[in-house]
Amino acid sequence: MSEELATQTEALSLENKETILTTKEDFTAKHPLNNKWTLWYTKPQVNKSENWHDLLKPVITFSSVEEFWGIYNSIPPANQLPMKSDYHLFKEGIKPEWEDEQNAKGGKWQYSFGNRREINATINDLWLRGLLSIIGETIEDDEDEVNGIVLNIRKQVIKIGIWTKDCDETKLKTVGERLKKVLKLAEEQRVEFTSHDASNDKNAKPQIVL
Amino acid sequence: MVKYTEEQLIEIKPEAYTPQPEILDEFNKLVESVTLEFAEKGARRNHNGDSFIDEHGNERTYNYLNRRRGSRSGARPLKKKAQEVEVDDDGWATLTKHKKSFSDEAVDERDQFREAVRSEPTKVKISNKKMGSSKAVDSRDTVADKHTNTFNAFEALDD
Repeated sequence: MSEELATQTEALSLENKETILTTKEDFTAKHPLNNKWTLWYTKPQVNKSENWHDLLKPVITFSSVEEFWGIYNSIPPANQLPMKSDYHLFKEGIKPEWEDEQNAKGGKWQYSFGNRREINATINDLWLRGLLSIIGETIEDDEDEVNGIVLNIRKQVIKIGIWTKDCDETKLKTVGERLKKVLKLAEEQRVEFTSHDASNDKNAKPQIVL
Repeated sequence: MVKYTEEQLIEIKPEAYTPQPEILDEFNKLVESVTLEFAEKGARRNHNGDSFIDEHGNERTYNYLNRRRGSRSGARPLKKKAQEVEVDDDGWATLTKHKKSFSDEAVDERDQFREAVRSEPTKVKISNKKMGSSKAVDSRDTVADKHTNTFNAFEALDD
């Protein structure tokens, strides 16, 4: 009888079983995200021997809200990045390149802030709002179109763009409209969607303008 | 599917946890090195790497001496007119010189003036004052060259 009981309760043993309290990382991850996200950084070219692949570097991957804040507090804010730098936050496994299978058929919603002096004071807040809408996944409903968000720091402009999986207009409008709200844009300030294919052509007109 | 609104995410901010701080430290160092490199490059561009020691013994750069004209001075370079092409009845295309701003009458007048000037030899008066050098003429030379008619009493007595 006792042998039978022992075999039956073996599965209930707590020994050698991992729980949420086993590792520090799990313990702190009280608010898990739907997806794992990777932060990438494009380092500006310092000498001409460096090519795009040398410059684009994955920094860190996270999967909880707590980790997001830990990382966000530890890295330079948007307005302190050197010129020609980019931050990219993409779903784990997707490289922030047009060539990536997940991006190849897609495009990006983008807005360029032209007045550098003015935007320097507000870019940190706007970029944070963009990040929160991406990791919280409120930038879209259930379309699952968004692959990531990009910040480009340039001499004349600062750009924020949302990269999508494809170019289906019906699915993309929600993302565009929400991006406008996230970036606190006025009605006359237009966000533009351009497919990655068309981005190669400098004269190409945007596919959707909102 | 769990979604977090902006407000919900901000509420969790105090519970921030930094995973792999050593990686983030490395990343910060990388960004800092790029910023420094850019700052040095900018400074080098301004003063060409030249410096001098000032009266207090501090090394200073000549950046205020090597300023270039601003690219946005407001003065736009005049665009040269493109040459016009004239096609005659036979289909030959010829480049035509663009017309000068003066009319045919003005051209005639100009030619007449040139002719008149060519036929009359002009007398040129040279003035020391108007010579290229602004330096005063040596006064001793002036005395030596001067032709003087002076009254000689002894010569007068001979008459």
